[in-house]
Amino acid sequence: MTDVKKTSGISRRTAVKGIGATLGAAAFAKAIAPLTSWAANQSIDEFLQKHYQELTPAQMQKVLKRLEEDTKKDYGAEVTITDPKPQPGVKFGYALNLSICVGCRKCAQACHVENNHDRKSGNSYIRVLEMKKGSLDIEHGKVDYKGPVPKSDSFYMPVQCQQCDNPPCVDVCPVEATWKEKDGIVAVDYNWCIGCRYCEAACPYHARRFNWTKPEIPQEEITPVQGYLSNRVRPQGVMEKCTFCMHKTRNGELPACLQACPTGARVFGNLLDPESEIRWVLENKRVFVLKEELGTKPSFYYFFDE
Amino acid sequence: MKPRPLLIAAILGFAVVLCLASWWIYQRSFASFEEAVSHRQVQIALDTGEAHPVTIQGAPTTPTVLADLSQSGRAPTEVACTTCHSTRTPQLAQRDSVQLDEFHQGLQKQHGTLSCLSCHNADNYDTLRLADGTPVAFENTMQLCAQCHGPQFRDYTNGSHGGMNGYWDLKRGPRTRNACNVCHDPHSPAYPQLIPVFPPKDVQLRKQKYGDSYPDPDQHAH
Ligand code: SF4
Ligand code: SF4
Repeated sequence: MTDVKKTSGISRRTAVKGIGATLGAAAFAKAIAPLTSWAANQSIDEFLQKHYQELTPAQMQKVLKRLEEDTKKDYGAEVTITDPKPQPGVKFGYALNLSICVGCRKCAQACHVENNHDRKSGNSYIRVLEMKKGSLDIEHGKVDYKGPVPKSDSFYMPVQCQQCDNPPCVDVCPVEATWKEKDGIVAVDYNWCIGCRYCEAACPYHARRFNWTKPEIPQEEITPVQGYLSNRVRPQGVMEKCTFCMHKTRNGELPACLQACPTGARVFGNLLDPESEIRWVLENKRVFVLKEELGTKPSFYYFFDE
Repeated sequence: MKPRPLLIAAILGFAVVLCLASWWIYQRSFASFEEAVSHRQVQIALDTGEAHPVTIQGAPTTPTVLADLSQSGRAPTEVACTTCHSTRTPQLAQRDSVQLDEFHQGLQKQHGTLSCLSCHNADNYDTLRLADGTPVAFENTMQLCAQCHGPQFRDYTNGSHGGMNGYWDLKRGPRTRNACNVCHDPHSPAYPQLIPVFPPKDVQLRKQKYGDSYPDPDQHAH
């Protein structure tokens, strides 16, 4: 099943480009109808869906409706999927206070729930690294630490997508299924992704996740407020990542990981607003970014209290 | 004579390629950076309308204590501080719960050299008091903490310390913030150790790779 789907991803694109150019769409749909028997749960509409950036608002509405119906069919859950747009004058930034993060992983858990991750895989866009005080050796940071935290000799560094201004993952995508939005969020069109995983390999922060299986989530645990580019249940065989909870933050709300953080180690806001808390942090704390030398220009900052 | 037009074409072609290449390099390396740093010129239409409120939660309006009434055969009950304190003379000399012969004996205090009455107001136990004697309502404990913990209070006011919920954009919705005492027991304010939730599962994958000698986090953490 997995293999069929993966290879079908690539041939689908090639087929759409090659044959679609020579046949009318209707004739094409008819011609490929037999193929739907092996691309089992993929409708003709889905098969022919355009790239996110090429969808007209009317087409988008149809897509959203189809996805809502699919979720109802597959998971029994009533969900609302919208496509909130970047707000003008907003560029998102995130900062994390390493002096007060206690490594409780509540943020990672909140992310898992908010984003409708497969329950069994325990997926989360956040990994919390435990490191010895006095070092900043990320490669040897421990993610599977146990026992009461915070340990007196350790500090904790949650790592998630850094929403780079110069994102290596975007550069390597062969079909442009991932790109940077105006408010700084690196988005993925799950319906356009062919699952080649180049972006996962290119990301120096290990921030991307692959859907090896179709996510299994109990109906009552599905987060009902969903975004096309963010937390809707992903199809099997596509890449996904932190979107700063686009479906919440583009409506002015704080991201799920911040709301779950008991210590207030996380600061989120609009980098373009001089009055914002995130700007206060950037202007008054000594901040740093991860792997600065790579030139990725993250929108995610870390700092210690003085 | 003859190769001239060819040469010109070649030079032109080269120039075009050079321009395209430098434009590409510029786009890749500097344009995104400029975009990121040029925010001071960006015109933001700031909505000056009413901002939504920030509510501080977790500080009691009427402070109570859980009174052990077992000797009188009754279940423990929450009673307001003044219930007892209005009928008793304050023991101004006693600095610690260990010196008390009745009530509050088990109370653990690990808060520097402070005594009970450094914060509690002997004239009205339903309030607290600042170092200069000014009474403060329990709801405003932050003011009391701020006397000694200036940097933390500054960070709190600027949003980089203390749990919160709601909206980053106060023009679109309200926010709630925790009072200091939600996370820090004032009597023993160090943040307590806790068992981390949500152990990462990709360890399972490593286990497949390295065999059973790799420890399973699920078996110990809960
Ligand atoms: S929830 Fe907050 S304190 Fe806990 S690990 Fe995440 S950032 Fe750190
Ligand atoms: S912002 Fe949302 S998607 Fe990103 S790590 Fe936090 S919870 Fe996960």
